[in-house]
Amino acid sequence: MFASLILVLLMGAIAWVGASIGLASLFGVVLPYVAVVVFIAGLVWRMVYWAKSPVPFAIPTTGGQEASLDFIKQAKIDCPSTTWGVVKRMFLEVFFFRSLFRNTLAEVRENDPVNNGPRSIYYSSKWLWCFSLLFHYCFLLVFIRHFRFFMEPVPSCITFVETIDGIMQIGAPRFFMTGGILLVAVLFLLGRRIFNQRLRYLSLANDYFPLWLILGVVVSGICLRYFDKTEISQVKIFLMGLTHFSPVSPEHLNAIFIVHLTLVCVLLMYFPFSKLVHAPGVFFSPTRNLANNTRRVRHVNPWNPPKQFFTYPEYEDAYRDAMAEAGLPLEKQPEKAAE
Amino acid sequence: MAKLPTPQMLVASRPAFPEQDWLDIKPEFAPGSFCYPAKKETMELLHMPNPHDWDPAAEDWNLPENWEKILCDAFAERLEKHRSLKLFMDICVRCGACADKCHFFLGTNDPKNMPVLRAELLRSLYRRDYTMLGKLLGKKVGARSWDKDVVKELFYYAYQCTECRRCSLFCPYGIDTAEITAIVRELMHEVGLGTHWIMDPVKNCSFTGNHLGIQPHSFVEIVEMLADDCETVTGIRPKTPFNEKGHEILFITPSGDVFADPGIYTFMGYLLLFHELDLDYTFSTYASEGGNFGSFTSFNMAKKLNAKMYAEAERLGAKWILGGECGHMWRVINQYMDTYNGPSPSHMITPKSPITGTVFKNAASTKMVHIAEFTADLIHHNKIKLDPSRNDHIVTTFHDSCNPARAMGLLDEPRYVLKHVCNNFVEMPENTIREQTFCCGAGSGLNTEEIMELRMRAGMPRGNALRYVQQKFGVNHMACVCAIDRATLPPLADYWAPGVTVSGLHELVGNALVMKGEAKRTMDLRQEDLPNVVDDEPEGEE
Amino acid sequence: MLSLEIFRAHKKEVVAAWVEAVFATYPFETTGFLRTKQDPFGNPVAHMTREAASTLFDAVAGEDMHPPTVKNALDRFIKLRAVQKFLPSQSLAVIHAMKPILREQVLPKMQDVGQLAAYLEAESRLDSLALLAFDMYCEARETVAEARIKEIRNQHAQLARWAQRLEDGGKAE
Repeated sequence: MFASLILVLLMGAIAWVGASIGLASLFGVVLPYVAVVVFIAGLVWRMVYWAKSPVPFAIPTTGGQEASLDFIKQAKIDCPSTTWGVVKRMFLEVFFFRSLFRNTLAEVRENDPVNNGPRSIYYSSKWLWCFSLLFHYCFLLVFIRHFRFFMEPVPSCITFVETIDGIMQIGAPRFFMTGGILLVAVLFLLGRRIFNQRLRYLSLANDYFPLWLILGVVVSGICLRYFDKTEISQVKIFLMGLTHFSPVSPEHLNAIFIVHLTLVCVLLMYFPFSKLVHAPGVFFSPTRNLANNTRRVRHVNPWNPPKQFFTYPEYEDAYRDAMAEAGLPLEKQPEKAAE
Repeated sequence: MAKLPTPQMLVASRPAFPEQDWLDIKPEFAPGSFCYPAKKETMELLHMPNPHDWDPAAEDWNLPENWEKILCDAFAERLEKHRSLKLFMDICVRCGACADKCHFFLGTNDPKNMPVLRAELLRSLYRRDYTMLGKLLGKKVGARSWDKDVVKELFYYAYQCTECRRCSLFCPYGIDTAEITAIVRELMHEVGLGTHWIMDPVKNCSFTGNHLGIQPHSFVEIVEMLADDCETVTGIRPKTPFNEKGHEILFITPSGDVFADPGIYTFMGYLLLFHELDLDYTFSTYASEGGNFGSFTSFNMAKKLNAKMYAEAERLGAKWILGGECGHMWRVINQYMDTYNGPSPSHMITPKSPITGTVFKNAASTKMVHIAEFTADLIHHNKIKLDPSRNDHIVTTFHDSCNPARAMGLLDEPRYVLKHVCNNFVEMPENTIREQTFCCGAGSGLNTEEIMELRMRAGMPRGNALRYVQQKFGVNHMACVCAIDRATLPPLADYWAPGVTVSGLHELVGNALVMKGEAKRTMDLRQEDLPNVVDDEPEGEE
Repeated sequence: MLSLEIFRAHKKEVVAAWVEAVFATYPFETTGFLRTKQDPFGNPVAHMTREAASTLFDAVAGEDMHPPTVKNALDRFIKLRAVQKFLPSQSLAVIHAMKPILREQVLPKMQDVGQLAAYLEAESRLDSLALLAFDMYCEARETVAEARIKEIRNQHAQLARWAQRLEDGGKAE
C-alpha cells in the first residue's frame, strides 16, 4: 500500500526534477507520444489476445425469470433471450453498473423484532455502486473537458459541459464540480481498501497503485487550476503543438504541469497491462454478453471434441441376459447375439 | 504439581497470529474439511490421466514426477480454449463486491473462500507466466510460482466451492467463479487428483446409467416397487414403461430420485402425474441418470455422460425429452447439452405438450423441457384436477436451486405449480431467494458425509433464512427442484431449523393430484396419515 | 435486588468484552473480519455470537428467564461452534470466558456493597449455563453424526427396501 504510494510520489518527483534540470522536453514531448502509442497498441494487443480464445460455451448468468411460457413474465433485461435484450443488459451494466447496484451487505441488525435480538440481514448496499459510478462519470467528464486544450475552436458541446460543471459559480477560476467529486470518489475507493479489513487483506500493490496514480493526477490537476495557476494559453499552445505533431518547447511551462502530464502518461502506459483493462473487458464477458437462449439456438464450440461414450450396443452387450430376463425390449435377443 | 489449564488457556491453544499475507498461508487438511480421494481403479477405468493412490491428509500426495509441467501445460491449454478464463484472469479489480455473497465465506469465515481470493489462487499463478509485471516483480504484485503446497491449496478451495454462481451475479464484470472452479478441478484431474464421491458416481453413470451402479433389471424392479407404493396410496398402479420404442416422450430424471429418500416420493409424483395424463412416454435404463456428475469433473466428462440422452432418444425414436427436477442436470441441459452433443437427432421435433398443445419454443433446439414448465402449463390450461387442501398441514417455502436459478432462470414456473398445489406458501427473505438464492452448501459433488461439518457451516446462510421463516411464519416444509437439494437440505434443516421437512415439487403435486378412479386418500406419498382427512359418512354401514 | 441492578449497569461492557473474547478464539483468518470496528460488519457468525452474548449475560445476572428462551438464544451459537474446527473443550471454554470479565468488571462493585454471596450465585449460574451448553453441544454433535448415518441410509433407502424384498421373496419360495 505504501510502496505504491512511494512509487507514485517518486514518479512525480522525477518529473519535477526533470523539468527543473532542463529535461522538460523528455517528459513533455517524448513521453506523451510514447505513452499514447503504448496505450493504443497495448489495448489492441490485449483485446486481440482475448479474442484469440474462443467462447466454447454460452454461460450467461441469469438474473431473473427466463423466457418460457406465455403466462409467465420474463425478466427481459436481467435474463435476456434476444440480442436486443443483451444490448439492453450490457447498456445497464456499462452505463449504470447494474450488477454492482444489486450489491447487498451481510450485516447484523441488533434489535430484530422477530428474533428478539440480533439477526443477520442481507440488505442492499449502494455505497460502492454510488461512488464507483461517480468516479467513472466524473473521470469521463473531466476527460471530455480537457479536450478544450486539444481543439481549436473549442466545440460547443465541450463549452456546454464546462458551463454545467461550473454551474455552482463558486470561486475564480470557477470551481468544477467533477474535479471535486472525482477527488472525493478516489478517496472513498482508497479508503475502503485501507480501512475495510476484508478489502485490505485481499488488496495488492496492483490495486493501490492505480488509485494513488489517479489521485496524483487529480491533485496535480486541481493544483494547476486553483492554486499554482498555470498560464492556460501557453499550455494550450504546447498541447496543440503536440496534437499537430509539431511540438513546441515545454521549457517555460510550470513544473507541476509536467508532473501532471507525466502521471497521465504513466497511467496510459499502465492501463493495458493491468486490471484497468476491465473497461474493455466487460464487453467480452460471456456471463453478460450472451443471451439465455441456449435451448432455442445452438451455441457452437469450435474445439468440440469428438463424442466418446459408452454406447447403447456396448451397454446391451454387457447386460443383455439380465435385461432379457427382466423382459426389457432389446435390439438383439440373447440367442441372436450369441451367434 | 502440574497445573491444569484454565479455560482461557484451552481456548488459546491455537496457532498464533501469522504475520504473512494470504499468499503464504497454507490450508490445514483437518478431517471434516476435505473429501475422500478417488480410488485408483476408478480413475483407471475412466481413463483419467495419472491415476494414483494418495491421501489428502498426507504430506506427500504422490504427484507424478513432471507434475509442474503437466499443470503449466494444462493451464496454457485452458487459456487457449476458454476466453472466459483469460478474461477472468485479467479483469478482476478486487472490488470485494463478491466477498460476502459466498455462502462458504459467510459460513466458514475463511478469507480464501471469498470468491475473489479463490480466483486469486489461480490468478497469482497466471501473473507469473502471463503478465509482464508479474514476471518482473513477482510476489510484490501478487504473482507466485507453482509448488506442491499451491496444488494442495487449489484442491482444497476448489472443493469448497459449489459452483453456485451467486458471486457472478453481483460481480460488475460477471466474473464467474464456477468457471474458475471447474477449470481448477480439471487441472487437478490432470495430475490424478479427484474425489471419491464424484468419481465413483461418474464411473457408475458411465457404465450402468445410474449413480449407484445398479444393473438395468434391478433398476426396473426398484421403479416398479415405487409404482406399487403408488397403488398403496391411491389405489391406482401407474405404468412404468422402460426402453420402449415409438413413444413420443423420453423422460429422464436424476437416478437419485429412484434410490434416495425423499427423492423417491418425487418420483412417485411423476409416475402418478404421467399416468393420470395417459402420457405417451418411456423411461430408459440406459439413459437413466439425468444428474451429470461429469460436470463436477471436467467439461469433457460432462459431455461424455450427457451424450447418452440424445443417443437414447434417437434409438427409441422419441420426439422430445422431458427432464425431471434436478439442478446440475439442468445447468448442463440448458447451457451445455446442445453445444456438447447437438444438434439433436434429426427426427426430434420442437417439444409440444400433447395435453395442452403448447409448443415450447424456448426449447426448439435442445428439444428438452423441464417438468416444472410442463406442469405449470398443464395447470394453466386446467388439464389436471388438484386438491391443494391435502397439503394443508404444511406451510411451505421454496428453495431456488442455484443452477436453475442462475444458469437458466427457472424461478416462477415452480412457484406457479407450488401455489396451485399448496394453500400455504411463504417466501424466505428477499435477498436469499430467486436469483439471489443461497446454495444448500453441498452442490457440485460436495454432498458427501465426510465433510458434514463443512456442509453445515456452508449451508448456514440458507439454514438461517429457513429458520427465520420457521419462527416468523411457522414454515414446516421446504420444496425444491433439485435432487442434490433433496439429499442435502434434510440434514441442513435438521441442524439449523429442526422440524422442517424437505421434498421435491412433484411430491406435492402427486399429493394434491385428484386422479380418475382413485381411492380416497388417507395418507400422503410417504404413507404418513393425512391429518385433515374427514372421516367419510357412514357409508361403510351398508 | 441490588445485585441485579449492578449487573444491569455493567451489561454493555461485559457483553462487548465477551463477544471480543469469543472472536479472539477464532483462528487468525476470521478475527479481522468479525471484529471490524469501523463498519459494523456483521455476518451470521458475529450475529449468532451477539445473540448468545446478551442472553447469556441476562441469565447469569439472574434476570427472570425461562430455560427455553435461554436455550433458544444459545442454540445457533453452540451449533455453530460444534461444526467449527475446535476441540470440544475449545468450543465450550468460551462460556467460561465470561468469568474473568465478570470478576474484573462486576466483582469489585459487588464486594463494595457486600453482595459477595449474590455474586458467587451468579457465577454458579454461569456454571449451570456451561452445563446446559454442554448438553446442547453434545446434541448438536449427535445431530451431525446422525445426519451422516441418515444420509447414507437415505441415499440407498429404496435400494435397501428392494434388497429386503428380494431376501423375503427368496425365503417365501
